[in-house]
Amino acid sequence: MSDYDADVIVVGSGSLGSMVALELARAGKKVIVLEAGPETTDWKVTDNFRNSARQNNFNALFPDVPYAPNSFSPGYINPHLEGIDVFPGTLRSVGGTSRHWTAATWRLLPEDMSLKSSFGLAVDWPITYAEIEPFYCDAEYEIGVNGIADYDESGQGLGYTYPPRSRPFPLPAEAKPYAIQRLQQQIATKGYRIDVAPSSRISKPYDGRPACIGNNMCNWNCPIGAKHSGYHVVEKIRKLGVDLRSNAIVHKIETGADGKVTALHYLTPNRAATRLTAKVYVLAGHGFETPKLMLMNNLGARSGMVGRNLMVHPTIDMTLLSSEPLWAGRGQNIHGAIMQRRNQPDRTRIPSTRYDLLNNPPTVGIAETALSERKIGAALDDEIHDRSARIFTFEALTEDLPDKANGISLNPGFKDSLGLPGLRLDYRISDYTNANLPRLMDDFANFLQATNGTRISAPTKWICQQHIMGTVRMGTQAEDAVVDRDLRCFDHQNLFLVTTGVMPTAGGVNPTLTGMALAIRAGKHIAKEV
Amino acid sequence: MRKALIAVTLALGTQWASAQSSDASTIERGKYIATAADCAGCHGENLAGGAAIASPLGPIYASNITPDTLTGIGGWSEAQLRDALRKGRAPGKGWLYPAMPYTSYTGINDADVSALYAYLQSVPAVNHEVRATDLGFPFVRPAMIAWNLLYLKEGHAAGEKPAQGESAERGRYLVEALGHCSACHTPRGVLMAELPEQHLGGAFVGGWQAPNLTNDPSGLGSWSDQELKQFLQKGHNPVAVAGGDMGLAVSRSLSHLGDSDMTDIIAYLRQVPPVITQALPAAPSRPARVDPDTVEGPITGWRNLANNATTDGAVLYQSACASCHGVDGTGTAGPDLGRLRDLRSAHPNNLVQVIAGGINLEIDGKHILMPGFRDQMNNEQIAALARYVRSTFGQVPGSGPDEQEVTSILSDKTPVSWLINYAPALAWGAIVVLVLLLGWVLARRKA
Repeated sequence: MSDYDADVIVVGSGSLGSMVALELARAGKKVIVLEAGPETTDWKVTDNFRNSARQNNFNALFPDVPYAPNSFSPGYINPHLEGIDVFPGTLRSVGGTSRHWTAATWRLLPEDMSLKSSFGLAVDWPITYAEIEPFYCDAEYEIGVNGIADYDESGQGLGYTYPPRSRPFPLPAEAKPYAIQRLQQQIATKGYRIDVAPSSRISKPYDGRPACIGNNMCNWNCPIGAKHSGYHVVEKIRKLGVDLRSNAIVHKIETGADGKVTALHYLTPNRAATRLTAKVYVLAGHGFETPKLMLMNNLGARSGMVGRNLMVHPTIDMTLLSSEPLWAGRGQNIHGAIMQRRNQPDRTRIPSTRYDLLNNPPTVGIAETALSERKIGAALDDEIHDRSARIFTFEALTEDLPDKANGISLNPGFKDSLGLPGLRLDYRISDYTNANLPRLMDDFANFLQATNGTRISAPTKWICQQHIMGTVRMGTQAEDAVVDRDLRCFDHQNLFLVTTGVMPTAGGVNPTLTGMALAIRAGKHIAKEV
Repeated sequence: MRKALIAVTLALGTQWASAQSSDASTIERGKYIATAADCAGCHGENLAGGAAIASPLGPIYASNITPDTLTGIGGWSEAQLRDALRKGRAPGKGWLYPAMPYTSYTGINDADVSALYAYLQSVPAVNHEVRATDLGFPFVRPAMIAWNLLYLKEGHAAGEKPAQGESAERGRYLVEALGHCSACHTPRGVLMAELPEQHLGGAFVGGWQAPNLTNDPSGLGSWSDQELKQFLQKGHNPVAVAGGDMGLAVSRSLSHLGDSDMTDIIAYLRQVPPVITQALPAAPSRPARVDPDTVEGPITGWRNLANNATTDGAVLYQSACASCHGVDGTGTAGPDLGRLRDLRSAHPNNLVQVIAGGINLEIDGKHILMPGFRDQMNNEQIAALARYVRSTFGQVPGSGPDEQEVTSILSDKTPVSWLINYAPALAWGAIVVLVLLLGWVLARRKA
């Protein structure tokens, strides 16, 4: 023990890094967590939100530090995009990007993990749903997840629990606000059904967190801590004695002749350098920063897959003005989803799709539009009052497939304050994604008719989710994958990558819960080894 | 095999014997007594003990009171249980420390001791060896002989007051003997015995203020019966929330008492002679006027976005608290702050404890939770926040606490007399003096 600074060093303190640290700390291991970004308390983020002129930018509430730029820092990402407009907003902050997640906690379906054998697409995962299932439960109980019993998450109306679960949801589903109830009535006429969206915005007090009271700012930062974030796990690991160092920017990773990692180095914002050693190293720096560190140190090079196969869940949305008040913006940001397109037999041709009903506070966008139309005074107030009550956004989140050409690479044209490089981002919308458009337009048209609404923003351009997958994919062999089923690097026996970047395919749902399940599973593995 | 058979026969035999000696209704009554006396408060949900009860003299480990013969009280007779409750004497230990509130339990009547005995012998036996308590010299167990001579009035719960009427009589029994309310709510003297003249007049325990329960306006005198009942049964009413150990006492014990017992408790509390303590400022008649502009202004630049260090109470309140308690403190999901007595108390203990540790109460299937902020604020910030809410929503002018007071409150220490504080040094000093004296005398004799 005395030969090492710790049993395990985890790089990254987000949802997944903190979760693997928690697993190890509970097993009695000595753990150091290195976080590149600063620590901003939850109340401070609320303060920043209330006093921000850029409330439509989740990243803007967190400090954009020059020594650890985030994806929205000017120049940090050099985009080469085709057919798609934006890129994911990642944070570098204690608690990670889950500080501003929606806390949607879907599970993948067994089919999502076996696209090749089920639909002849892409690849199968090297691990099955049944193998991950117990860890999904662990993750759900760790963070507190709302849901309903006998729930078919596949949207196919199976009438029984699917995917199968060995333990029930730890918490009951949240109540549906009026807007969702009313929309359900309306779109039912066209054969659609709004299902409960499982979430970690808790419906009852759980693990020291209060129940949601509907502040309706989930995405930015829950002001009462009802929504889970990596920051809650950070508080737990600190109590277990984990040494968490913020503003510690890892840049150099040493390896020995056998490929094993022998040390890693970090800098502080004022360039003070520290070298640390451990028996096992975990990189948990999100789907961008993890491959970036690998590329900077020429690690995992054998596969040629580091930074490639980026998947981002191409998304398209439509905003309508209903003929009647719906009162969006009460309760949580996303309550329900239309899941019918998630796992249809024609998935061979058309991607898995989920329609989210965005229950966000719409006032900022409405005010912006009205002001641009030069409305002021009473006219502006009237516009905001009227439109806030009637506006609603439907969003289609779609599954994209791994493609080697999509990904991130180093961008030496950008240097942060420590001289470290930025990222080049390549992504091209595929024919498979575009093959979805006719049906998407059909569905959107139906939503519009059913609500007797007016379209105020047409579904014309692809944007993306803040989900990053594929960039350090897992697989069965070093030739075409970076990590194995336990998240261990093929090329570096004591290096594990704990990030949603390991997901070989993306499924049609938010990846974080899956990442947490994989993190817990990896943590248990590592605990046995050190 | 034969041994095993004998063991089984013996086990069955004991079970049969205990089933004979105590019928189900006696056990049920004993369970109610155990609930009213909140045995689980120290001895744990399964009564197997082990928890360290913080005392100013050091940790006192709660014993195993399940019927395990080796590590619990399985071998005890009813008389031995009676002695433990009434005299503070227990087999194997000798004298108990008064962390076990036998100065109150001494008032438990024979019938209830019997029922309690039947109940304790009926719960699942847990083999759990509890760590021995070692408070060090001079707080050795035999020292309690002298203490008991001074302070234990066998058969009479410490400090209990005469009660008029049957209901108040029963209430006295519940409050003084079983409920042992005075253990926390009565201040203690130099040797840590409850001060009879200040009975139930309020005290400081583990960093909390246990308020004055007497009929003075500074105590419960200003509470309506309805408010009292709601507090004792639900853990909160419009003027108070049960935090810390009181919250646990409500959830484990008081909320399970029957309606008539609750009425009796209130009847007795109404008769407890007033102990006059510092008057509480009246609740503000109208809510504070809070101008959001005082805390709103653009925050730009990463250094300002990352700065968690503000000690501006208004900023801390509006950021961390207002989402539940409202911009003006009148409450949305949380209570109206101006009406809370703990907020206006001369002693900010409970306010500080709640800001730091939150409220986590599970009562009757309802879960009330306020998160604590000690992980996200330092003591200076907690002090600033406490001052802000006291002066703004409590409208208590110019009142503390400062950082030092917050640090002291959050150290969770119970204040004690100088005598107890310096007792080890004094006792050893006395011994040294005696030895020197003896040596001097012997030396003189030789010479």
